[in-house]
Amino acid sequence: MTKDFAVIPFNSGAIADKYLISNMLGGWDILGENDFKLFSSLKCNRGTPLFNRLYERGLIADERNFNRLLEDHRNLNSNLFYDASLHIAVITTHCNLRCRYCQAHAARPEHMSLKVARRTVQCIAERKTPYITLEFQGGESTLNWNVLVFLTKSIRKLERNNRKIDITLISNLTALNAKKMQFFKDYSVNICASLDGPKHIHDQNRIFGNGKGTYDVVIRNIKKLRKQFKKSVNFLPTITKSSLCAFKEIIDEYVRWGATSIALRPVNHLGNACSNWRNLGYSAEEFMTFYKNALDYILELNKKGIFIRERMAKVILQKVFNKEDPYYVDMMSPCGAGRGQIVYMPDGSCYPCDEARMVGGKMFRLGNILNETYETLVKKENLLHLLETSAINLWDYASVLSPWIGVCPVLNYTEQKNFVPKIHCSFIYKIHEFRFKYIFEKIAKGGQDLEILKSWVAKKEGENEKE
Amino acid sequence: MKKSKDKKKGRTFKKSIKHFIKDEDGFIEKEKIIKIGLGTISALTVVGSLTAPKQAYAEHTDSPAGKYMDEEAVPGTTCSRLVVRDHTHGNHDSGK
Repeated sequence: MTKDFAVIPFNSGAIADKYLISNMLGGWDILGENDFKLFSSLKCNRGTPLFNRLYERGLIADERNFNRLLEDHRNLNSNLFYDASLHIAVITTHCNLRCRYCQAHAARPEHMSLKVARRTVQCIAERKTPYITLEFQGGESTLNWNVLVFLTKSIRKLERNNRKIDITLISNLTALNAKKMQFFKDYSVNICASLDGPKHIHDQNRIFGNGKGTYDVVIRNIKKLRKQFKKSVNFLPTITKSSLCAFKEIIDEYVRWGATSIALRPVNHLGNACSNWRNLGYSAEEFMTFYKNALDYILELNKKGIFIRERMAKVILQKVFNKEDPYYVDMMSPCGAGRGQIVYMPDGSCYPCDEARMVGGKMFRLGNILNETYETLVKKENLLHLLETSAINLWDYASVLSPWIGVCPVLNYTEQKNFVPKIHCSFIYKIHEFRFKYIFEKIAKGGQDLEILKSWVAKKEGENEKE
Repeated sequence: MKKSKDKKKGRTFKKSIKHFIKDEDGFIEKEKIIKIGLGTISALTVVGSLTAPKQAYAEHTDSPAGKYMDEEAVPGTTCSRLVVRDHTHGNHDSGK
């Protein structure tokens, strides 16, 4: 007898003492041993409780649910249908700090000229996407003030074309004055500051040229922005070796300054971090222990009524529970380099992503906007090859995490000196994999932890997304 | 002789990506591995294109009020909601 349904091809993996199954459309479930055996031997008959459950979860398809499954798949990967919205302007490579792990250190620092800035605006204006984020990166962006003002005012004008514009400043917050703060307030520039944790951790790495720590100045300016200018500030830590045991102190420091989100990201083996790796670096396994402890602590705080989310966990949960695309370019397959983001350097040269410009050189350079069109740049052969090498199905095709996981080909290349990565040796991939598996363990165990994780990405009634 | 010279170069980025892809190392040419992968990506892209909702290709047709595409923008189709938002990355946190 012909079956009128099909089990969509799936991958499986052990999670706790159960089995996680998933398919390329983003359907997934966690099964006990008996159910898994039934399912994997394709002996699941219509009308049984297991069939109904797997049908609902998108693991079994027939004519009735197929359109819904395709729509889920499109939403999970909707970034594929849109142009780059993240435009990173490195308006200067000058910096007033000498951070020990600086990934963007330039041998010959320079400011972006107004000529390059004008061309940058032109490139951004031509993009066919309803959302545009202009992000100022450096160096320390506030040191090239005239260009920052020019770009901010010019990009804000694009709102007249019914686009949503976000402007974000990534800053060390040590080169600000009242005039600059007022400008950020007037032009709704979001501010993200580097804050590695409490003073004794922050000041180990983030220092002025004379070796003095920057914590006191950063905190003074955060207070001033908030109190005098009613301007909120977000923070971003870099986790170094000395942070690994201090997860509670770092998270407490974020709670202390009112943060509702913390992104626990490892230090990259780029720039100055390479020469200081012995003092700053660690293995992927050491970071995993840190992440596990930190996430558990964050969940404990939530149980006490203190709301704070871990950012990568949220990205994962958005994909897994909501089947929606968080547009997070560092965890896409193919990655978001050149497709979701593009970087404009002070001399007009373009790179496909922030990590690529940190590596520098000709390997990842797409060209220069002063003498090439944007369309020419994003059709360059090296970008195509870069995207090919980021397609996770190439390197880990049987992974149960393949509907959601992605990897950075630039970091893989700098680590392994090869575009054909040994994926299970990749520092960043091991960390991504661990994050997923630890969260799926929480899901498999259920209970209060699961409820809290779900609440991080829950949508209120009538709300499209909770942000 | 050439080998030892290459070794001395150590960790500099002298090859282009294309060079890497074409370079043979082991039993299978990397180019062939990439081709296999490209086949997979192409297949996925074709499936994606065939099934992509019409409004996915429209320019600036989203509702300014929300981050979902407007349901009425594609009357007569079952594809009513396509989530679109701004790209983010790990080197900044806007608190979203």
